[in-house]
Amino acid sequence: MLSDLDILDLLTAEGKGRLIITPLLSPRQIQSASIDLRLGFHFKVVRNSGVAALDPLRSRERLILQTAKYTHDVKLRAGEAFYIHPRDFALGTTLEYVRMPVNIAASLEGRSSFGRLGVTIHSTAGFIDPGFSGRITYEIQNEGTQPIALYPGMRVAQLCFYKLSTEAVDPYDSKYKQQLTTTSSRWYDDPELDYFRRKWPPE
Amino acid sequence: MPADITELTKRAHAILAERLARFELLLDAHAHLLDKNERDLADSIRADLSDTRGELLLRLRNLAGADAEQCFRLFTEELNGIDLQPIHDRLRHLDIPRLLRESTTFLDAGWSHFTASTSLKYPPSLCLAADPEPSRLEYQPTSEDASGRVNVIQLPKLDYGTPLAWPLLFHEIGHVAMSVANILPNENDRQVNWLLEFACDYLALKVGGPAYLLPFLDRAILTPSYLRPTIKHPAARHRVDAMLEQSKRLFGETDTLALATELAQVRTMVAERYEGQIPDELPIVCESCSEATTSISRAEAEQHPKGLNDLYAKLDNLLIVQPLPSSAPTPTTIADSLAQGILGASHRPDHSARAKVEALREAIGCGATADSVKALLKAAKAAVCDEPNDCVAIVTAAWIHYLHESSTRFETLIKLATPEGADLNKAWDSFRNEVGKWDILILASVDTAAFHEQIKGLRATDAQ
Repeated sequence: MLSDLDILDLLTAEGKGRLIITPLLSPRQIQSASIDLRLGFHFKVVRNSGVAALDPLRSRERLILQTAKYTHDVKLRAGEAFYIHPRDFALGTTLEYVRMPVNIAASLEGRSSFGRLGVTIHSTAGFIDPGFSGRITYEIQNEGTQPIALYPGMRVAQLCFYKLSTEAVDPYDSKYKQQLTTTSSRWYDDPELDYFRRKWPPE
Repeated sequence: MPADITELTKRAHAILAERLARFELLLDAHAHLLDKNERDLADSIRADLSDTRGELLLRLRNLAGADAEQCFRLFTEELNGIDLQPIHDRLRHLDIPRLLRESTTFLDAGWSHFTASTSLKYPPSLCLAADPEPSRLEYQPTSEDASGRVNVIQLPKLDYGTPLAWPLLFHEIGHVAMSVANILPNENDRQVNWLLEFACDYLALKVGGPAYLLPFLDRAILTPSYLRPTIKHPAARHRVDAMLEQSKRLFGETDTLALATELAQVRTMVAERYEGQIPDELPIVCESCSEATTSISRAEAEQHPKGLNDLYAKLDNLLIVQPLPSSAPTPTTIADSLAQGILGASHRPDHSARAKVEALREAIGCGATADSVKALLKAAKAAVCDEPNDCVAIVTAAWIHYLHESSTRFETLIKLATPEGADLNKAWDSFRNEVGKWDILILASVDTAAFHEQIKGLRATDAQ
């Protein structure tokens, strides 16, 4: 795991070995072994009406539309609150654009201050591959009992870095690369679903 | 009507019907997706809508072969005869404030570059065009309310999310700035109107440089206005001439000049293709002025028959256009980031960050005191922090990258601008795709830069 000095080294390295995190607003974001990430201003809020169920064996086109219907967009200005109610689930995004070097992996963690309020920042997808670039999507959930107001620009998460023993031969180049805003699931692009659809065609 | 023109009209009808059907389908899908708040999918439809509009213009232009002007005239007549109101009605139901968010941010950034002896307090407002597509950028007359002057600039509906087209707003901002400075157009005086257009082009060029000139040419060569003047506007080719001349004076031997030189070649080649077909009518700044002419243009026209340069000099005294602050990165630097797909919203102003980190590592290696290590760590952390970029610089950077990436762009422009493009659809698709792929990155950069600007005070608070 990398220390603050290692992280500073990466942030000022030249060429492809450079870790890019932009905009980096304040020195306070650089912690002893992590970088704090802020909340962006674009959210996707889950809504249950209109979609009976998300079934991956439906046709790809139908699945794309259904997945899009599963959330709606909320875009805030500075100073506007995003209220996450108890048991609500929403997608958010980092304010920062991140580009990982090919020899560094990272893990996204919620900040403890929010954890203590019952707000989780990611559900399960906290691993950032070497070579990833784009904004990282938060999976925000309120496990507490009170609605919580979140403001774009707040430090809500932290990114810890790990050096690989060798450079990744095949760095991340998949469906979420270069995402620049809160991005819905693209599970419809998983290649195994094509096989399943052929093997067990939807009725 | 001669037979070939009748045939031409029939073909124009057929193509219009086909394209409008596609246009309507796309609009239906776009409106539906926006109703459902599915912005990402709607945005992809918007790109198709924009392509279809341009394609419509080009296909009709190519129909005429050697008689491009005649074709444009037919196209305009045919288009006016078709009921576009249903399409228009649907577009009017879009969620305008949401759609205009990024473009409004950009407009405000452009406005902030203007200062004048008279107060330019309020930035103009932005609205979507009330006309059916293809609609135009336009400055609308002002009115007064309790808080002062209200100025509205109209943006074509399909351009709300096309950041490479936004620098065209600078021209309209120029109209607003001049109206505040009491330099007003005259409905029936072509000379005054034309002078104002040249003046607004000049102001826009000073704010946006190539980011104004290039989209202007991009659009102009696809429309009849490139060849034909109206009572309100001189022919666009003359406006391009004037801007290229001013580019040399304003920007000197810089990157911008290189771009302008390349553009001059495009312009010349287009002119060669249309040799003998372009009415050789010069801007009438040399004609005598009517009584209604404003003092600035009357004096200009009376004393200097072709005195655009003097008009520009007077504007320099009346309306000051602030250049980007010297601490800001050049558009070329931002263009380098955009070229790598990196968000261009912010920059690191401290170029000694690397040296500061190395000094910290060395101090730790040498067993320096805890206090000195702590001070060096603080300095290194501060050095890696960012400042927001100027929204105008971001879009200018996008243009610079867009033009530098491939020399074939100019060939494509020429192909699109002439009726001999054998594989027009392919050329058009390639051209628009190149532009379109930048939209999302630039939109995100502009939006993030505006947000960063709003909360940049956070850094000072943290330092206390």
